[in-house]
Amino acid sequence: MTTGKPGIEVEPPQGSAKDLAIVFTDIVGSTAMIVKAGDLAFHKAIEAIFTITQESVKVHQGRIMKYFGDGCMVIFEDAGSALAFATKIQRRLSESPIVVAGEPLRVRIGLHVGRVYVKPTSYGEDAFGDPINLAARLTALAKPGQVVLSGAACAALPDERQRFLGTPERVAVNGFCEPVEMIRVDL
Amino acid sequence: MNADESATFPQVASEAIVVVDLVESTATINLFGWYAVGRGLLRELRAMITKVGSPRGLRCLKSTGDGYLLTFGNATSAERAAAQAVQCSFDLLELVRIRNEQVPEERAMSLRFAVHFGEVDVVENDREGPHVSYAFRLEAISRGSLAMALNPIPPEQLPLGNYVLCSEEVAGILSRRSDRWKTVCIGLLRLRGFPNWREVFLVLPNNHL
Repeated sequence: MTTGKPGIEVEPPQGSAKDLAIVFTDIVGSTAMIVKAGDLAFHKAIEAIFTITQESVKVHQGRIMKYFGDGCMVIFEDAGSALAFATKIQRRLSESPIVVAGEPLRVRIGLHVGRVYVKPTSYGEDAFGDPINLAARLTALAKPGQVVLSGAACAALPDERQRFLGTPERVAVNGFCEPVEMIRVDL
Repeated sequence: MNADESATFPQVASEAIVVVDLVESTATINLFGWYAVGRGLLRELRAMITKVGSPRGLRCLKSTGDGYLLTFGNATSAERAAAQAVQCSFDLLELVRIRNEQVPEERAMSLRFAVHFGEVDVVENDREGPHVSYAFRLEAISRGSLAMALNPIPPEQLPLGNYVLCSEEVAGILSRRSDRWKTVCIGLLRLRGFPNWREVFLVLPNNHL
């Protein structure tokens, strides 16, 4: 595994390696929202969105690996389940907004697939691998309410699902030497 | 711009920003007292910083209560200041190591450094701006932070003290400017108040095993 910078390499961790789909969710403008709405209101909203997330993860047979306070990392066995999870979250938020300080809470979601190691650590089970970094970085490129997929994630979908996605674009991603193909899904 | 207008706009400089923190200073002060031990440790540290920092372009030295905020500049190459800041950090660690061999264990000093690089507002005896805040966020990283990181190193591989962390920007500068150190990514982290995931690096001497 590399960071994309020359001369810096990390030994791959011991553990089971699998091709998995990785999804990151990220609440838009969380810092400003806390300031505007206050901690209590914001945390109530976070609870509501995490409840939606947990329900959707269960339906699509994913696994929440980590919570980050304003988002989470979820893994799935296949890209189709991951995309279904991601689009379900965005649809539910669009149809039944969670309002914080008068503004609907909006989320960015990013999705990538790749070989990932899942292993126990001193702080609990965790997933490792370059695909994790790319999924996280791509998520930052999504617009509020949008889902973005890497080209690899799109290619891993069944043909009939690929047809309904947008046109790929090539984007520069921090930490990666080459531009990465990305597709935006607006709902 | 007239004199009054120029007075309200601070000078901006590209500097290396270092936050150095006395590890477990609160516990030390609580155990042994501020006047008995704590104040003395900070004064010793200040003297060491002045000694090794001045030849390396030290421009700002400000107390943070349990450590110091330092900045380094270089008139000929702004980036070179980052390499100088890292060298100063390791020089300080060496001075502390020698000092610790000569004092009782309870008076041993343990430091952690966070090095960043960017534009800062130059205020007399101080520096301001988001890059200063970023350096403080780096300094706050500890083993506990790694549970929330992506692709973190095993937490036990991050020392408890006497280490140097740096930002992506400084890691890039070091890879271009010097072969004295290597940088190991400790993970991608989200730092409070700053968007997106950021790589954070542990700086090690190039002969580190």
